[in-house]
Amino acid sequence: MNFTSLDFLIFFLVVFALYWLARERRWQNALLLAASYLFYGWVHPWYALMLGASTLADYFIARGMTARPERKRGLLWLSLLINLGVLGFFKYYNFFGPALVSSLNSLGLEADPLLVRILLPAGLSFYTLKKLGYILDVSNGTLKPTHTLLDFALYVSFFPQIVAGPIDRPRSLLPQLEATRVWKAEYFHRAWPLLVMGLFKKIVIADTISSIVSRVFGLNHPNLVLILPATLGFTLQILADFSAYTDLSRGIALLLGFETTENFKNPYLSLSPTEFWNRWHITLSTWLRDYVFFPLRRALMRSKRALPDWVIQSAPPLVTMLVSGIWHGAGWTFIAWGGMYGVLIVLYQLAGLRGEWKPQGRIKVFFAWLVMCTFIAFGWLLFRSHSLAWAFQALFSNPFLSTLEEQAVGLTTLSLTIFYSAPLVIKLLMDRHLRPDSYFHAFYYAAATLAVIIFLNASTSDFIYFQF
Amino acid sequence: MFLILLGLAGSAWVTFRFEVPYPKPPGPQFDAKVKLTYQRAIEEKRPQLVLLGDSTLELGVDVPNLAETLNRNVYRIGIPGSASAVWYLALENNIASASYKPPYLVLFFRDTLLTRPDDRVTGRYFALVDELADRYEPLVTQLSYVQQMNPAERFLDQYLPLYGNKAQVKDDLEWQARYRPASLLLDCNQGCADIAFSAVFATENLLPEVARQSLIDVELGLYGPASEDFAYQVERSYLPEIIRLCRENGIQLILVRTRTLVYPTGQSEPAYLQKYIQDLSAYLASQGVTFLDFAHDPRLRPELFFDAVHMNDEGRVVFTQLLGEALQPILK
Repeated sequence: MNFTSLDFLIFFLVVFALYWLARERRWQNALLLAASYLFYGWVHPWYALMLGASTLADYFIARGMTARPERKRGLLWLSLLINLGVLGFFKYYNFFGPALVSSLNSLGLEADPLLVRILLPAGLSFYTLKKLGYILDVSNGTLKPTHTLLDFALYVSFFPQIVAGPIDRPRSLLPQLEATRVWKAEYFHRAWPLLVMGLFKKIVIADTISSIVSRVFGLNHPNLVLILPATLGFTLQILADFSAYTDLSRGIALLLGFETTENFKNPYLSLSPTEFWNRWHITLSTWLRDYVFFPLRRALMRSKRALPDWVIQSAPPLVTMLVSGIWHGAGWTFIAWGGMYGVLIVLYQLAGLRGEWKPQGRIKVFFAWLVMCTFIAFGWLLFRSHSLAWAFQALFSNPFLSTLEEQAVGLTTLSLTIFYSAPLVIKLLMDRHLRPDSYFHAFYYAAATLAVIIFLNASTSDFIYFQF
Repeated sequence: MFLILLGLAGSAWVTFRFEVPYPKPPGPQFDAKVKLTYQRAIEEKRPQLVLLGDSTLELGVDVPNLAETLNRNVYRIGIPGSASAVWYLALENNIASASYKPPYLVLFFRDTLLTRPDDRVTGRYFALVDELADRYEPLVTQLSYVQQMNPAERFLDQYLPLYGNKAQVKDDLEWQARYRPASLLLDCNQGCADIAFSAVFATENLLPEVARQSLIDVELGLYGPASEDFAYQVERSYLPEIIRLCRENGIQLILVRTRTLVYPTGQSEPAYLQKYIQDLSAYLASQGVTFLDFAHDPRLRPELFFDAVHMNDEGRVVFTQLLGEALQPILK
């Protein structure tokens, strides 16, 4: 079920009404849990079964860690094995899928390729990280395990977040699930701009620009004249698409009385790779920072063999970014994308340019931004490409050999990208220079709502981050 | 407040800009121009056999060879991307309205395409429908559009001009960004830019897996629960009207089902499709319509196709020969 579908609207209205009628916290949570499993199992009930089984396993593992502290280490490994095993299997299923289907066919068993796709559960990466965060926190002693299975199961499956985050931490979401919630008009006032912007970014910007971007990225031999504007188009599309999902997720959660974590803070204004990751997919970045980067750095610093400083400084960002790349998908393009950020962070650090770095003077700031923007766009090119060879072949093609048709398509792609980025730039300027309660904001949201109506189609394509 | 004011202003603008009545009748607004190319060609060439279908016909039948085999004058109307709405309009406004009526009409389709009036009628396909539609096409409006709307959509379509004319409004908003830069910098106007898009994104330029997936996406609408029940679908489709128009104009209708090699729902033919085709076959027999089914013809081997539905050069030769052999005893 997609947030922008009619199915979801009906589903949410029913859940919303029943939820606030229930009043009692336990009933509200039970209703949300049932709704979350319905939402998640909508495409295939098997998804919900798998979610339920893995939730039960982690709930009892966490309880076991407190009840039998001497077995904590073993239980932690068991949880890691289950979670990472399932995640790894499904992430790399695309590699096994065709071979498996052909093997079954050769045995006379019918297995259609669609089966391979159905078996890949959306959102697995997101709820796995949520559960792992919980288990690691309990194992470290920084979090007491919840005694209520209902609350834990709801924390994992909370429907506004299950498919594409934000990956809220147990310390932030669990206390809210355990607290009494009473309807306040403030929820609606705060949710409305998020919902409008989410729908606007998804339906008006991301889906429209994706129709041309995906066509260029579907070409066999695109040249530079086509791939450069399409890369800029994808840079816009992925921000609009993913931040739209987060806005809708946060807006929906707010309507249910939950405060969830912000995931984007104008990431394309970053001046350094570290700053970019502090602004882009923030809940994933902080998860990786807390559970991969810091533990690895601590381990290297405490290593019995004295390691050179450059190893201690370089290895954690490189490994963390590679993990991020692999988390996004099985393929060299994702590994190269993650690896590129790892290398960039190391290089910026070696040059003394850390996350909070900001050069003096507007011209220097502009150039720092331009350089970082180029890296970001190049990263998205790798990320969206079918293969590294395909990306480099397109990038190093001779632009002077392009035909008039290719130039016309390239120019149109660029102008449409600029056209559809304009509303986001205007919003950014308004947020910076105007008070949040100004009439201009009200006018903007009204115009955005009308634009959604105009661009609304019967079917909306899935959010990009569903596949991760 | 702003939303209401802007909504009113926008609605007023749309009503005047596109000259639509308020409230407008549900469904799209067709322009008054009807493409009559096929009608003129039929009147000029006076074919004994008219072939009508989509790209599978365009690529799958060698017309001169078929004409030679049958020893008859054959004219083809193969419209890539077309489906039953366009075929009905081509029959109504070009074939049946011609001063010369061809004795035979051979209509090519795949699987459930004949009973899916909503297939390929919106988005980029709307232009195909519009160019063959007259200003008022109540049947097309009803079957392909209004019938597909839920009550909320129908209400918005009638009473909210911004929604009812969303395609035109979107095109209007986007027009400057889409066409102006190429026109100014490359001297490439709207027509030139549209041709550029068709040329750059032609099927042969796509990655094979992307081309395959695009075809699956397009074909997916033909399969699934909404298509399964023939008895329910046929009454909501153009098929009875196509049969009636042919009968009233003295045209013998022959329906030809072409082969689908790979189904979007899997490798093999969906189980319900066999029942659907049996029902279709019985219905056509009851209406006196000849039905030729090539979907399971073993002579149309997989290597004769270049994708799931289109035949390659060798396939065209084989299929034309098979079609000729099948048509020969039917033609008087």
